[in-house]
Amino acid sequence: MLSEVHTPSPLLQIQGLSKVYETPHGGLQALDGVSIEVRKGQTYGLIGESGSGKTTMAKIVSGILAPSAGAVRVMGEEVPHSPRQLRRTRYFEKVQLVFQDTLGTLNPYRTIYQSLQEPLINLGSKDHKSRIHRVIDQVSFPRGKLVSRPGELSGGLRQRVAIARALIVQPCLLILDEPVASLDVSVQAKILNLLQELKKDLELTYFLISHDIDVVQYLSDFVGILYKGRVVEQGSVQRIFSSAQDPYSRLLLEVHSRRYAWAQEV
Amino acid sequence: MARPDPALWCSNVHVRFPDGSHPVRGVSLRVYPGQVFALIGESGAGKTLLCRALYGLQRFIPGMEVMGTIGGAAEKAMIFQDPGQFLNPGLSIEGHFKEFLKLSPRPSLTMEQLLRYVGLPENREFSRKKPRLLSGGQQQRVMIALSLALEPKVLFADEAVTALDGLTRKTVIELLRQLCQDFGLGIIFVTHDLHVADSLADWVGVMYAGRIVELQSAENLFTQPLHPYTKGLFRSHPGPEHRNSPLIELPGRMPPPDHEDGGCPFFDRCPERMAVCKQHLPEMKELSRGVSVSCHRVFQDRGY
Repeated sequence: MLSEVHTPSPLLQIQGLSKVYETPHGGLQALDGVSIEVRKGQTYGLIGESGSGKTTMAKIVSGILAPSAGAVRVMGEEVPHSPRQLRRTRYFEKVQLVFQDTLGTLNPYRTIYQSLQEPLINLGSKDHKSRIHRVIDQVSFPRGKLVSRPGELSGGLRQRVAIARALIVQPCLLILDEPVASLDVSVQAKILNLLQELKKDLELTYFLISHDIDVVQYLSDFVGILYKGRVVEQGSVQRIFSSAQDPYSRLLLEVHSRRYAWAQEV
Repeated sequence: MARPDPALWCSNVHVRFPDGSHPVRGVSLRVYPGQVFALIGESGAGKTLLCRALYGLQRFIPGMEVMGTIGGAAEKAMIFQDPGQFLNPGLSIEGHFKEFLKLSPRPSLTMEQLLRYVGLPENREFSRKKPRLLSGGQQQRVMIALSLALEPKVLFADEAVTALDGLTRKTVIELLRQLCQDFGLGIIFVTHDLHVADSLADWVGVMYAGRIVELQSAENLFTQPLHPYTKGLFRSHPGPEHRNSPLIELPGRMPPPDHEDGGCPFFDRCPERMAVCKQHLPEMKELSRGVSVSCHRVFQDRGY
């Protein structure tokens, strides 16, 4: 433990990660030698278009999927690849995933309270009620709506539930897979501000995966650009957005540029 | 030079449903040939229903009642967000074109010409494919080509690029702009994405709670927004200017489609509200040529 104090190792370390899916037409290389390091308290934003390997990345880092080669370490420990090991090592207490599609991931027949309680039951923890109340206060979810079911809530409130459900096990790393896609601008702003506040208050580390360049630029300290399974360029957010070198990253950022200078002071 | 007649215009259009909901409340707009008119706003503003009313789809939507005047060209076509759902999974691309070209009285363009125009391969190998073998961008191009087979004067596009990635989205946006020029089409484009409106639109109407609250040229709207709602949208949109500060949130929510008309529907959320706003609904006023807004604060500041 002492050595960690002297040379702070990254909280999340991804080394030479590759994933090949077996298909009837041969192997499909989804990830090809990806190496990324994220330090504690930082946000790393991975930008990629569909088919770049973003979701494969989220699945491997969260332990749902085993890589073909390479390793993922969280706080120096390698991510287990089997459900049994995941349970035994209590990996879920360290790393949690927040998905884009909250309607598809929350059980429609359960109340919000029941959905939030489930991870606590699995962990065998006590005082469910006070923990649930604390976490929904953190995400500003109204207590009166704990008896609602996901279908009765707005998209913004459902996203707060998804974040609360991830936070309830007190993880140190959150994987945010398109956390605000499909939300309206005004709702998106509230969730982005919430994510920033939570990161500061709870000393969280974020691994953000998104195709939304504005969102990545807003949240991230470091940015990587994923193209056909490879990180073609990575660096600080300032560097990537001011002087990207790789032709693909330049194209991606250029396509995203605005035609008009949007009003700044409005 | 006299302005051409609008490809589509409407005056005081309302949409109502029997359950008392009133999602479109008195919209007037004009779309000129060769121009893209973007309708922006958040979910529940009434954008899609307005579009459907202007297209004349109320026959197919149970209970939908449309009032007001709608004029312009009769040749209309529509493309959607999810072409994968619209295209018949059992029919080849060629089969789709046969059906669409049959609808046109004297088709002047062939399938090959249309495919070439939208940048798709015109060989048999491609046209015999079923839609599911095409990427999202290719499917949207097929949709655009099919809609062109109807030789429309007005094209309705409802979130037509929302599902596409940045690079593909850009090429489809360029294709739509090209269409406008080459065919003199008027496009009415519905989107919640400010970026898309920025890169595509000539004119922008901002919808809120069933009404257009601000209407300006895209350049003016993005550089000098007037209505507090439009300004609120810009402030809450992440961008380089917000890098180290929290986004400024718009408090509250849009009133539901069955809300009672009273004062300004944005009153509760407005940082610039005045006493008059609670009592009186501001009307839409043209402040100068091509600049219309409905806001008491703007009227007061500018002496209207």
